[in-house]
Amino acid sequence: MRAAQSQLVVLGGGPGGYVAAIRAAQLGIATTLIEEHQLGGVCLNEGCVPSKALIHDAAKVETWIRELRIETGMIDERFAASAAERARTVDTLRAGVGGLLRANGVATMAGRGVLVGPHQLEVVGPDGALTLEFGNVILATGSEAIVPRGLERDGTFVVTARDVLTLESRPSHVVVIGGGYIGLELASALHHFGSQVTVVEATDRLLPGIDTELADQLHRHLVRRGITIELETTVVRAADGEVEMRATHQSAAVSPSTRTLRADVVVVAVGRRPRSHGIGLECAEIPTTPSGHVEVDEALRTCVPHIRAIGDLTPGPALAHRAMAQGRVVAESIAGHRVRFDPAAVPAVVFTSPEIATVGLQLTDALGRGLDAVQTRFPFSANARGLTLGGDGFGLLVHERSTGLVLGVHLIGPGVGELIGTATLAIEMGAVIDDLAGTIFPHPTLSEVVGELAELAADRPVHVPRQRSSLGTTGLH
Amino acid sequence: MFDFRLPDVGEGIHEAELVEWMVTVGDEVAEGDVVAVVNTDKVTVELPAPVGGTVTTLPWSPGDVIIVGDVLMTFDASDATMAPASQSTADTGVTVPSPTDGLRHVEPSPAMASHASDAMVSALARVIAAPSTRRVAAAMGIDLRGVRGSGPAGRILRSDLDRPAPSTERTAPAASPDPSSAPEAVGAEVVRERLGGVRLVVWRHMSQSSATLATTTSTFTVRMEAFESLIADLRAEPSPGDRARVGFLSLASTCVAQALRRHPRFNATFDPDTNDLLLHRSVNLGVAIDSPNGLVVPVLRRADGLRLAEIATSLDHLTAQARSGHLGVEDLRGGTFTLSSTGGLEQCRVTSTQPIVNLPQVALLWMSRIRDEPVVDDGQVRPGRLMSCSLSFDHRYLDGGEATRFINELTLNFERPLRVLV
Repeated sequence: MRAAQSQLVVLGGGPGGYVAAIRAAQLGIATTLIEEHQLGGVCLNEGCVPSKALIHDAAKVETWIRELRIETGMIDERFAASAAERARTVDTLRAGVGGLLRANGVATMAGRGVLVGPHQLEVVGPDGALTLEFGNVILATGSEAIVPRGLERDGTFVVTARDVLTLESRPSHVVVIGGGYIGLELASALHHFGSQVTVVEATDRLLPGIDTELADQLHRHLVRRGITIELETTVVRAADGEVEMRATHQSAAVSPSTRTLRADVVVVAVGRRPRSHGIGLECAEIPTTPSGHVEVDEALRTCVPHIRAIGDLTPGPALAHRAMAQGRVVAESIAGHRVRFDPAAVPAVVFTSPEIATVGLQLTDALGRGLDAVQTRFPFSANARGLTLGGDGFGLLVHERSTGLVLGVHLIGPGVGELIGTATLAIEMGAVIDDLAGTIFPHPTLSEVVGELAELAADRPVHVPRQRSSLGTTGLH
Repeated sequence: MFDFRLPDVGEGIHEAELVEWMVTVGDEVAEGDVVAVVNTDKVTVELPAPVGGTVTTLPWSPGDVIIVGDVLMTFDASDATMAPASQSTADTGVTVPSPTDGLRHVEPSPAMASHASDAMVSALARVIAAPSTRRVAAAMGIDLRGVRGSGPAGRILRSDLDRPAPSTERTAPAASPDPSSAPEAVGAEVVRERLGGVRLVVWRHMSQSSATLATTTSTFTVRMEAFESLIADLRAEPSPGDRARVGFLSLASTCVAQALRRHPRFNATFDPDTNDLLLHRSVNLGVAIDSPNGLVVPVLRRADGLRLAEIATSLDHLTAQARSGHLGVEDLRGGTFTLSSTGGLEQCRVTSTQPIVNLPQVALLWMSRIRDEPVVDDGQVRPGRLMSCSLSFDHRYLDGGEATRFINELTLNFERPLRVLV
């Protein structure tokens, strides 16, 4: 077998891996990146990026349907064109990542890399197999969709989120299994394109992990738009154009209800799990947690210090921006800098219509930790720009009562994904509500909501009534 | 009651570490008696009592870092014979307000809010500090959980990192009488060297220097035959009894000072606020000295304008002061370049080092012992006398080309030392 060596090997070219490789090369480390499929990983090729393109197109089409009453034929044409545009966007971005890697002197290798010892990987690629010796390795193999038993992907009827993004013709009836953010984003977008959509969720709420008030608001919106949502319901069979589901809630126990729906496509989006199997962790004696994650310290070291792990492989939110931030830290750490991955908060955005954006602690989390936390709520209908965009949505700000420390910001409404960076900065900087209330936000924009929330928290709101009774005395005037 | 606030013991000094109390509560002291010893920026200073009276409180413990202007201790100065400023005399029946009466009496105690903050921080399970502050702390190896933040909501600011965490060792024995329960505090296996005094100052400077500068080091060797024979000639000359003998360090200092005069960008400091480079008209040469208290770097002022004999005298004086721990704050300030030599200590062949530049200077020269080495003259190998030098410089301000030209000049001065004497 051929052999090669590299000071640093990055296993996986997704957002975490390629950022780590570029940063390491910039720091003078000879770096080899191994990617089995395509540079950019799930995020760029079959996740965040193409799904946002689909969602954006869907929102446009929705306006055409609603306001211009365009015909079904034109929508179908647009759906197909949208798929082609997405593919071009993805190609452009992927080429960009490849260009950046080359420009920074990272060697890329196509193939599947598997650890065969603490300092060796075996890479099987189009050019055959090769043993690669390394000084350090960064495991950045990401995650993959969970496929429940009996709902195996066939690529035409039972599909995953990835397949939806490459569908060339618009399905008229869609069943989405899973009420998490991936399922709801697709449900929201496909419904905009005029598909009939049913979301089936096994638990009693949408968006586990997101503030209940926001999740409930989104639920109401989606139902009002005409999306059917079945909570506490599981799919028992999906085949031959039929989806059989069974309710599991209390009332259903009395009279079990099994129903069958006809559908063109069933999208399985019940979650993702780390790709920690089949990469040879056992050869380096690195254990995984029961959920399949690899535990790391603040410098992203596994229990074998020269083997590091980042991204969805590590415990925490499986989000591209977290992986990228870890990628920067791990490269600097390997280069000998004393750095830590210790974010104060990792923001998350759900690109449904309306959007949800959230960062930091929810009120219930904060109270549960024993913090003296309070929450203020500001409606978009009291914001000029919010009103011009329909007025739906609101923001929640959680802060610590005695110090005013900003603990969390949770938003639902149009374009809130663009606002959450401000709130994240506030939390990272250790801002208190007077810092936010003392910041001038441009008028008329949605960003004013962040300032308005802080003014309300400081008990000096102008555009809504005071909430003093619920806040108590903040001592800030 | 008289509050003795920590005075500004030197230009720009913001804080001092208490080394020891020379008095205890209840002691009667006269004005001018030494009451405390504090450590500031490499100098140990004895603090005299500003008034006479009875010592009433000594709120700090050795090791505490006290900010200039904080109350160091209090006296009961009501005894009129001892208190020049505060007079409350019965015989006149008139109370003369003391100039210090208007001062707020401050008890140094932990602020109330910081206790709330401790609970809050532990509930948050993270520290409150901006990402930039956390990055610097990580680079300096500081655990922010032990740092008390002075910003809003207990936010840890950059400036809070320059103050050491409150020492826990002092309270540990009282809290746990059983020494075995205090981990790694005592025992045959581990000896704890508390970070304080000169070591603490060096620790901070080095952390800051290695975290901020882009240090590059060039190592080169010079032929020292002429240098050594010049020293031998000068020493053979009879000199007045009080004049210091010229030696290696004084002649080397002269060579370096003259080279710096022609290469002013190496005789520079940077302004930490603007990052501008400040070129200095005079060469204030810091000379590293290994003193019993650790590394100190007294400054030879205007070294480029001094004659060799004057340099020798000044160096003798500074070395003696350093060895006896009597250097003043002023002796250590304002260096524009640092010269370091370990030659006197070497019983081996140290051929290069990677010196860390002394902030806010931008360059430093280290010199080895002069040793026997083969050299090549006109194609013939002969015994020669060589010295190794390592020049570290901040690559943010200085480039390799400039450094090479400066090294050329240094080499010329060392190899033909007569040129620096004329």
